[in-house]
Amino acid sequence: MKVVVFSKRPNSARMRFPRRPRTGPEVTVYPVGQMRRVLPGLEPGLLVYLDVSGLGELERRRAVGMLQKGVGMLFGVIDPLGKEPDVAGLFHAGAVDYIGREFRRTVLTPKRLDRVMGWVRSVRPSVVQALEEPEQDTQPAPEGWAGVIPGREHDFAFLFVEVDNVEAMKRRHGAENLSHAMDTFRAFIERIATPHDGRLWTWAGFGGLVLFPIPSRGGPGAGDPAAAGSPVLCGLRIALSRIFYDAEESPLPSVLSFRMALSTGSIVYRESDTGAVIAESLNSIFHLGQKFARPGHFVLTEDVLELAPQKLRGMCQLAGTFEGRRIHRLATPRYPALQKEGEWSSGD
Amino acid sequence: MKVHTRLAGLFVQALSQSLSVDMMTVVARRVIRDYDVYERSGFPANIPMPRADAARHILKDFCREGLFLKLIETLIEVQSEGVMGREVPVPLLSRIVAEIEDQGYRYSRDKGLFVEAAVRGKTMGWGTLREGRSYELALLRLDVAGNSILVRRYPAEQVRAAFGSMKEIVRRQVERRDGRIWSWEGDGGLAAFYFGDKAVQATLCGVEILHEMYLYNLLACRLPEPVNVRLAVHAGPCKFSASPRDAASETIRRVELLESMYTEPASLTVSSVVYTDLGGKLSRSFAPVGGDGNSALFRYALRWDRA
Repeated sequence: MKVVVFSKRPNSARMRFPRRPRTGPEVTVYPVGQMRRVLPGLEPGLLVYLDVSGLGELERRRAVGMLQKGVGMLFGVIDPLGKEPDVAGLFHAGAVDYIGREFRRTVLTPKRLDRVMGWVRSVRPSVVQALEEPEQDTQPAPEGWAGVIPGREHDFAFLFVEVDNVEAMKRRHGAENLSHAMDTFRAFIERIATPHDGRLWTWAGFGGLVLFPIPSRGGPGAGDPAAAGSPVLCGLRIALSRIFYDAEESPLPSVLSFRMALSTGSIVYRESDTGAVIAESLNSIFHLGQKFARPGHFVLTEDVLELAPQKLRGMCQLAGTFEGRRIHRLATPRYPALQKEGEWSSGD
Repeated sequence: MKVHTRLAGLFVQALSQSLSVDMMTVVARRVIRDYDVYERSGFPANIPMPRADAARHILKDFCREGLFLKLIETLIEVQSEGVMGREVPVPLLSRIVAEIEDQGYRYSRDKGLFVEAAVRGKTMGWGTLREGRSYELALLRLDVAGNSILVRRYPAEQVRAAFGSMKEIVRRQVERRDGRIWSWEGDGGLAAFYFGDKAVQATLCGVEILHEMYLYNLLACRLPEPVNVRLAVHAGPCKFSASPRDAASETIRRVELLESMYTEPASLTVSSVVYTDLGGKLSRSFAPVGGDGNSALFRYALRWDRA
């Protein structure tokens, strides 16, 4: 296993690790000042340690913040002097290991790393699953929709879209006008989703769900960043295209605010009577969209974000946890028209 | 467009069978003001002109002035809407339209115009504008910010590929909105919009190019740094010329000035003339950025809401 260490005193830190280990991980040490440059290029599966010795309070918080934002990143803290005042807080922030005063040449043993990974597997299984070869009971759609068979369980990415402030919109525009506007909004979502292999699977008045078949790791779509990243890219395109929808397609005199949520899961696929499908994945995405996502925001679970190209991941920031999962928010274009109308708060 | 014998025959037959000479004159005057077939043909005004003769004279006059397509567009309008409360059916009109479409045009109902069909290829004037005439157009000017630095810094092949991708993005967006690229110099160019709400179309095209360039830089650009463009939109009268070098007008000069002097990289500047046409929802995405002494300017740029 490979380990990366960031330290303010890299030469000193290097001396604490064997140069050519017969056993144990291969350790690469970087100056902490290079974190911003090095982190985005690190491959998934690396364990990254931050040596906090010599770091001021602000430097430490910044460095931990950068590690926290790394999607699929496993990080630990090395605190040789035992000065960290809130070790539990580090774990709440996403750390998976803490090495305190016991830090010495032989501390990073294979046994310790196995223990760390075992613990991560129990509390953040989606991350480990993404790093290891998964054994799927369900059927990832191997060739997009061509591989999806009604009546069988398949893996999908679910994109939830719903209009914000529906009651206020009804009062403002009238139910009939709003209903007509929803027809155009639905058509807009479908039009953007289709080139990304998304299908509007269910729609209920003011929102719905777009399904994207997820390419399997060994299937034809595997390794194709366009296929794997399509759901995230689709969501970004919807956010970018809202200006065109409002200007050219929406019959409403004011702009439309809507929120989006994206996650992965599996369902027994059916093409009709979609409202009758009961699945934990569906409950989960609806909860995420209706209870966690704020107006105007686009949130994603960590597992779906790991499907996206690295550069898209760089546009995300951790937004919190919900129902045991880390949720990220993808930056979306600031829409002054919405802010001026006061329909959602800006500049979060 | 060539009016061959068959088309000419159909036209004469259609007009003479459907319209009186007076009604032919009413229709003709919708295209050429004060048109008088008697005066133009020299036929004595006190003798009723045979319908077929009137139709032939009208055909000759309108072809000479390059207004045959315009006349057919007017006939279509007259047939569908009538004249002074009267229905005016023109039975052979559909065959005339078919003959015109065989020559590479298609009739656009929402525009009420004949435009180039895709198979014909795209010309600067949509097959409709006439050389030397002045039209109200919206112009979109685009340029790569810092292109000379990119050229110096990176291998020629990479820069060429990046600029080629940018051009393809621009071409796609301009043509999707029925615009035409009038000139292209490798790292930028000028596009024109003529139909419908042209100022809005040119502006939305510019916004779309900015968005597509953002995604291109994020996901596909092989250069180590992004390719940023500056865009500007202005509207006004412009003399049409099929030769880019001869196309010059105050409107073109102004949009070039807006782009080069008043626009930041990765942003779009519109003049106040364009801004007033944008409508409430779209205009709110544009921020005032001061002016150039002549009038106010407004800018759009992608800004991101982050957690």
